[in-house]
Amino acid sequence: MGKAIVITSGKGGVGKTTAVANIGTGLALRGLKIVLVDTDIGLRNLDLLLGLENRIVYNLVDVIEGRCNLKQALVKDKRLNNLFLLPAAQTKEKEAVSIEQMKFLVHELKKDFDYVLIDSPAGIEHGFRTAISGADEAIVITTPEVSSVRDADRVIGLLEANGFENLSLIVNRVRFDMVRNGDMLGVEDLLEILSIELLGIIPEDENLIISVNKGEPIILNADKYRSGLAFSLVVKKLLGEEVSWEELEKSESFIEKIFKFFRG
Amino acid sequence: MSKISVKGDLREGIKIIVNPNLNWEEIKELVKEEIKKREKFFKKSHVYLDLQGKDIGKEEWYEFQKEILEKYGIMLSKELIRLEISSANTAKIILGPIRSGRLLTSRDNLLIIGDVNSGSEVVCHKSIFVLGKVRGSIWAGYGNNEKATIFALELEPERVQIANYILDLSLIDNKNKKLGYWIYLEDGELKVNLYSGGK
Repeated sequence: MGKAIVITSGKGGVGKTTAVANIGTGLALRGLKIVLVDTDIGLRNLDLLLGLENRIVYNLVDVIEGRCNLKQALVKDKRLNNLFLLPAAQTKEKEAVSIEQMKFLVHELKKDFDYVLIDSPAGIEHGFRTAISGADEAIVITTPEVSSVRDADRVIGLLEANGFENLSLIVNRVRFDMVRNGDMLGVEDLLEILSIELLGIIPEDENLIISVNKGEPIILNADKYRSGLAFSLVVKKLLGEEVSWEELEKSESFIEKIFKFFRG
Repeated sequence: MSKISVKGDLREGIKIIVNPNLNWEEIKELVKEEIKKREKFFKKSHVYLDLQGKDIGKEEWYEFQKEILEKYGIMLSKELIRLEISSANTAKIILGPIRSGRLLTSRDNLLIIGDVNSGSEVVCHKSIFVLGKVRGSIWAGYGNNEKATIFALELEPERVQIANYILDLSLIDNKNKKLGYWIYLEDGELKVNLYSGGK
């Protein structure tokens, strides 16, 4: 029996889907059997981030409504044989899936996979409640902005009220230089406010935008890009290995040095 | 053993102890004398007459009790009535943090151990004590209870209210940090005091 983890944030646009694509790919690179479930029905994106948009035949709602079986709807990744996607329907709405149906679906997937990663929609309405219903653990993602932090706090409260005990935090789009100058909330400030465990820190990185547009998770280039490195550290931590975040700050200052060198 | 003695303590109140070997007439005389001597001290209070096991008839006791009450305004009793030591000072204890979007209400005093985060609301009929940082909105003395107060270790709130008064947040001094903040109502105005822990 595998483990189901929901990745959620409350606020939109903070990087839930990017995190799911990268953590999923990272876990698959370790040889684990992974399925990614996109529950953002009507606004699906996870297929794009993995570059699988032109391989989808059936989707989540088709499975629920019995037009196909679960195996038929799973899309295998281009690069990794042990990574699968269960895409969301784009032409339906969130209400097409009930909480009971989602619980059953995730339970079925857990039988065949080591990890079931659930990409939650933004908001705290039906779509969110459905997404979290089948999960055993939750990862909350936030950026170091007050609006995003408050929404994360709200979502953590809702998750706790729904019986979640294993909650962890990913802080996305951190700019260490701004934190040092006191222009941005630091990771420590966020942990103090939200009082949950830290799973990872992802630095702001324009290469991430390129990777999203190319449909190629940046974790595949963890040696070249610092956000890729950061996601590989998240995967490490998720698997219970020792992680040092200092590596990230160092990698940034190294790149800064190169920039400064070229600029003169 | 002396014939009569007077004692007073916090738990049992004022107590007159008499020697049980005396007869009832003697006891009455002695008690009356004692009360006369300390009339001012005893006035309007409740006095316990400890007869140390001596039996007095119901009628006789009642007559004497009435006499003393009418003469001096003092209520005598044969049974010990223990004074209630303030047990009315209770609070509901909540473990924080109080997260965004949560509305916490209480009719009793509230003791919150942890932070009150931005986007949350605490509403309480009595006083609120926060052992943490207040970033959200807190309202003590809901229902126009002007005696309610607020205590917080750290204060960067969105809104603070006691009874029908909303705090002017510019009164909060975040520079001279001490142990905590007291907020209370005085002369129709909310005051913020830095609390230094009695130092």
